[in-house]
Amino acid sequence: MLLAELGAGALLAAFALAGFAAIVGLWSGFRRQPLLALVARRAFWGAGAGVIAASLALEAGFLTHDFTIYFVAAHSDLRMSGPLLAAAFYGGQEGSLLYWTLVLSVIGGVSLGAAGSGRLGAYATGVLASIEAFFLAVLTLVASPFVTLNPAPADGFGLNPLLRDSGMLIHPPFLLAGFAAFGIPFAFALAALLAGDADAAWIAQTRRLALLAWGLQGAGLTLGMWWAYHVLGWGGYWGWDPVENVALLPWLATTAYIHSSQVQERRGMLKAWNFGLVILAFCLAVFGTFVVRSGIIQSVHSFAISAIGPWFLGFLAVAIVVSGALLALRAPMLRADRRLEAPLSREGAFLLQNLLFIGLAFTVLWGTVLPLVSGLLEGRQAVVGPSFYERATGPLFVALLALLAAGPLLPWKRAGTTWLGALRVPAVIGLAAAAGLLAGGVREPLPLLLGFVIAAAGATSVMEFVRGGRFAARLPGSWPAAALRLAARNRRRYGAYLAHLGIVVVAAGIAGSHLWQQERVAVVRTGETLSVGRYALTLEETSLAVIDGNPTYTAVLGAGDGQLVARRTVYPTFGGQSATQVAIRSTALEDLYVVLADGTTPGQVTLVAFVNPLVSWIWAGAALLIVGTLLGSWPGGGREPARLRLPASLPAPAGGAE
Amino acid sequence: MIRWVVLVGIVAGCVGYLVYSATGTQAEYYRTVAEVKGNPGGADSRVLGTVQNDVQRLDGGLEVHFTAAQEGVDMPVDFKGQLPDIFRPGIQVVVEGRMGADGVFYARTLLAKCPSRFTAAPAA
Repeated sequence: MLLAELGAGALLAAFALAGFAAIVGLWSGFRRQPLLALVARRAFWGAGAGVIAASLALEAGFLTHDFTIYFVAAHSDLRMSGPLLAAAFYGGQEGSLLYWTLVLSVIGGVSLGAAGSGRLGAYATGVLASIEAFFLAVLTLVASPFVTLNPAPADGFGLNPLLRDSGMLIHPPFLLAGFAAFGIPFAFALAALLAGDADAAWIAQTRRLALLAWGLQGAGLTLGMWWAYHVLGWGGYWGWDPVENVALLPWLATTAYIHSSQVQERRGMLKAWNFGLVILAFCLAVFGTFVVRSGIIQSVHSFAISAIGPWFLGFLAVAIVVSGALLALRAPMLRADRRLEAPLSREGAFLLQNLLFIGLAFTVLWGTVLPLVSGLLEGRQAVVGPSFYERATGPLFVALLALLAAGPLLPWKRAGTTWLGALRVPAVIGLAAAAGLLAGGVREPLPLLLGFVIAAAGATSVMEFVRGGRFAARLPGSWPAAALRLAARNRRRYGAYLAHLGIVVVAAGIAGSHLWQQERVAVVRTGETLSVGRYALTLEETSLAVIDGNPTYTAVLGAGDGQLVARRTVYPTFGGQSATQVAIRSTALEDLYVVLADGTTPGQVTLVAFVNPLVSWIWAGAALLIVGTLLGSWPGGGREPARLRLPASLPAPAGGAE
Repeated sequence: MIRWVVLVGIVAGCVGYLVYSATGTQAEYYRTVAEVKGNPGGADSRVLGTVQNDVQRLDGGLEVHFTAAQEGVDMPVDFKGQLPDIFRPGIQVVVEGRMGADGVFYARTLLAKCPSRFTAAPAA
């Protein structure tokens, strides 16, 4: 009971402080009073301290099994311990919202500390504190994690079996942190609009914060795919479910932004567009939360459907109206320094990339809200499944891969004929890949086209490193040391190309697993064999054991020289729901993926076996993407030496990555 | 400037066409159990229903017969394939497929909706 009181009190204090910080922050920006700005920032930090205290109280409630707290009783039980018990913190809605607010307070607090007490810093404090105050209002008034139970139950309800996995420890915190972090570049962008003036350093800081949110969300999405693939047992990793889609939307908008902001940095163009993208990303994140939590769109994911839906809708409306009005008001300040010259230029490539990403975001949004739109317009709900997304987004993805091959080779301003020469290498490598596929017996046009664009895009990305390596060879000192120095000094450039390479590898993994997945389903008795792809699986042994009160079926399969063990556990306390433990043998080329289906009896099992080509490429590519993002956003690093630039890009000013 | 407007127009047009054509060919309407029963042999449709207590698993669990009910109307459903982990009587499922002439709904896909929260039923 004490923990609940402490937590609720801390949240209430934080709410009051955040509201105070919002008002004082905006006022101090308006009146240009650095002292008040400092007061607002301290109030924001004070609110952050309250949020941290509340989070510690809730976490202590879980670790001490304090079932007087309803949220603790609803999401854990006495048998849970260790990391999983700690992670139950975000296993439900109220805890997720508290975690969200925590991330916003901590990252926001740190970035405000760096922002200073100038006018921009004051406005940024005001906007961030407003967002924080909204979340704290929801946490104190609508969805409190500190509702108490009296009398306390002897034991809690426990965590859903599907969430009892190590993926639970890492996937939600990254995804929620990503969602929360989109609020910070939004606050910085809004501060620039409010002040009507922003220097290059402020824009650069906004971009870094957007990159941070983008990286967190990207990691969260990847971990979600990894979790779905390893835990849910349907052989796939992305189902185009509304809940997945809305997590993708802000990431897509920010992918557009981190590219188009290069055009602003180097050429002073697309300013209003860039502000619009930062605002769009945040609004999509809020929209996603609204969709997921309000239950207005049906999803196979279930979240507690609760009263917070209208609150988020109201917040979204305010965010759109305020930022839209500001953007319109500041249009004169956002005029471009110069005009775009030729479509066939680096600027043109970035613009096309932006249009394609916004097109992707629109397509995904359309598919997600179609039930709502058709329900309103036609009186009955139409829904679309994966086939819609594949048809509508497939050509856009192919176009983006082609752009990934050609775009980075384009010079700024205007492409001459040297550009065509630079295209030769990726074109030849792409054709070689397509020819290799043809020789390997592939005849359908789609895999050949994908092979061509993916190999060409990979070649363009690798060429950048080859060129850097050659350059390093001419530098004094040993080659590895010179290459490392070069990479460290031009970290944004090489980080970006590493990220591109990661995307190419992910694309290859998605294409491979999509085009060539094989599936076999069969009922198998002990001693019998099931063939899938080039594998023969022999059922060697089945067993049934009761582990922690939960009956667990185990099937041991012989596959070549090794064994695979697939399990299924039934949870009587969850209405007989069962959860599978997939057996996966992963190699660089393909995964053998075996699921023990429901309906298993001793001596006879139902097996669903998949061969999933190139799935491990997705995880490897995502790791490259994250390393590249970290490298590229690591603070410091000098400007790019003029000598390194492509001959074709000589007219452009130095610095920056693509 | 005209060139840029044309470029934006072309991309927007392509995206619009892709979305339009994919929606036209891939969208399915939710129908009620009553609607589907009144129109057997019709086009593919998507129906939401609650699984009743008569689940029969055949073929080692690879085929399932059950009754799906919605607003007091029910229909028999047949589904061949891997069932979702959480499939059991009492949950809501979305089935896609068509009603056969024999009055049985043959589902191509079966999606289970999780019980309303991702937590245990209180002392169920």
